[in-house]
Amino acid sequence: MNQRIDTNKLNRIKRRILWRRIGIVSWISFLFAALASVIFFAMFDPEHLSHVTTFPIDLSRMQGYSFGFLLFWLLTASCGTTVAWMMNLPIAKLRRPLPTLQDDE
Amino acid sequence: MKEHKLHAIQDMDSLYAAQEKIYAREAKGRFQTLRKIAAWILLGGFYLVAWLPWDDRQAILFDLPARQFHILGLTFWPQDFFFLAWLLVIAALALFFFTALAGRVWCGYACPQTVWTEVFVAMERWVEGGRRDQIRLSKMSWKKPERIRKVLAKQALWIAFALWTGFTFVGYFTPIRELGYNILITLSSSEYLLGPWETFWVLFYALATYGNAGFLREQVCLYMCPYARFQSVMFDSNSLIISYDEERGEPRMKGKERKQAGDNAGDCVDCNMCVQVCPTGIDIRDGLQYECITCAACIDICDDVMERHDKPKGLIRYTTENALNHKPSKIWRPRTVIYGILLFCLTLGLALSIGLRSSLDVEVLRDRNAFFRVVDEQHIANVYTLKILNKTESAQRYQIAVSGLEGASVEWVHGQQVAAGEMGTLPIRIVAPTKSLKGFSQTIELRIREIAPQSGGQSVQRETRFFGPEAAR
Repeated sequence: MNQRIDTNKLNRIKRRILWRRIGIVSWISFLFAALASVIFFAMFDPEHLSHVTTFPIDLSRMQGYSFGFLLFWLLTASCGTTVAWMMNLPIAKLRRPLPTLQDDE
Repeated sequence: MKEHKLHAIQDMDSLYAAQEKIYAREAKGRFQTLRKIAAWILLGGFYLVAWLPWDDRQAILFDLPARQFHILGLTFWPQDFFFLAWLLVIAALALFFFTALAGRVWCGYACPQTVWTEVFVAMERWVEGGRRDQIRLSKMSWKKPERIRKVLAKQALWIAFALWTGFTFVGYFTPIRELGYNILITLSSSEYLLGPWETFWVLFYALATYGNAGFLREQVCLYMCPYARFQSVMFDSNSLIISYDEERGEPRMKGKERKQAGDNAGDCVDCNMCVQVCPTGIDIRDGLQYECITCAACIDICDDVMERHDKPKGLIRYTTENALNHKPSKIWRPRTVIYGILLFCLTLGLALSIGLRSSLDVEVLRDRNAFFRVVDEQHIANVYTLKILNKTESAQRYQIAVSGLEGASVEWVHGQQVAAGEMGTLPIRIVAPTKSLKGFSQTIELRIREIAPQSGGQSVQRETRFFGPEAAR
């Protein structure tokens, strides 16, 4: 096929895909980080935790909550980013025909 | 390979089409009135309830630094997390129930995204005018003062409202009067009284409101909302949906064509109003789509058009799949009955268990080092550790009554007081005459009671074992 590649359009679409993925990953990871923080801090008091950590950190409760939430968000966002990254198989791979049953025999 | 890539991407092109801003026409009618009332109640509640006092504190305050949630007269501790989980289960079940029954009423009438978007759209309309004016303005050169003036005015309104929203939101987590006072002082002097995290969360929530309601709008529903994606599994052919009556409407015609067709023309005059009012930019006449948030704007505008054409209302209406297929619609069916019963039982259970919730909780642990100690020739003692959780808002003293062992008395080893909201670890010693022991060990009952008048004098009862020497038999 002799179709001219419109680089501009291609880049625009790629950018849009990228931004949409960033949006979805950051939003969904935000939701789950919030859920994790609620459950975690319902059980553990950050003031108490900061006294028993390996590294001495001096955090008030409010700082502890916020810090904890941001850590959870970092964790869930990293997970989401990696998943989004890995889901994105190289398209050439997807285009290769699937092996038929005869091929297997 | 490059070509393959291009094709694959072009396939996606339609999915990722440029997001044109949707200029929705304003619809007026009974459902829009209903939505406005809902928005007033919900937002009014959100902005006002934060200011409600209760005794000497805020009526609703999720006091994270103190690890206490105040809701009207009730106080919840982290130990009551169970209730929150229970409440979330009820909320999820309620969503299932109402979706099965009435479709996406949540989306159309109560979802914060919809409600705040409505307010932002109303401000936009107030400044920029209706759909036609907005489109005209968007095409105007940036050099024209009219465009600059209107855009600035709109942004100022939006930002102010978003900041107020962020402030109110944080006001549920830190006393709002104090927060407001601190902000006023900070703004009017060089002194910075706000905490860094308070500042951060006010701005964060303001930014989220501004972005979601001002810019993303329907895209939140289309691309970000998990509920919009899975709500379809809760639907069945008896659920309430908004639908265009194809039988009545088709073939749609307008103008000259319509005149020529005479009686053959369907009721739809193809005025395209239902498309213009739709906040998510769909054509309801194409059938039910996941983009539809059931805001019913198309119903209101179409009823209006039908009235002007002397045709019966309801070409687009709330209906069910069964009704469209001339079958009876059932409200009560296994799905709704089961959801309904579960919802009722869980809600009742939650109300009862909160109502009957005890203000103290006690765990009795026996001393593991020794079964018993000999006090003197006539008496022996057992040592226990009590873990008492004080769920009241003041320090409490406790008293213990022992039953099941004649002549037994209780001695507190390190006092009998627990601070508000704390779990106290209090060792006690129970001393009893050797002769009242009936065997090597026996069950005794402890009744732990708050000492009035500081509290309601609530009590709990716990069983434990009391040990004595073999020879006592």
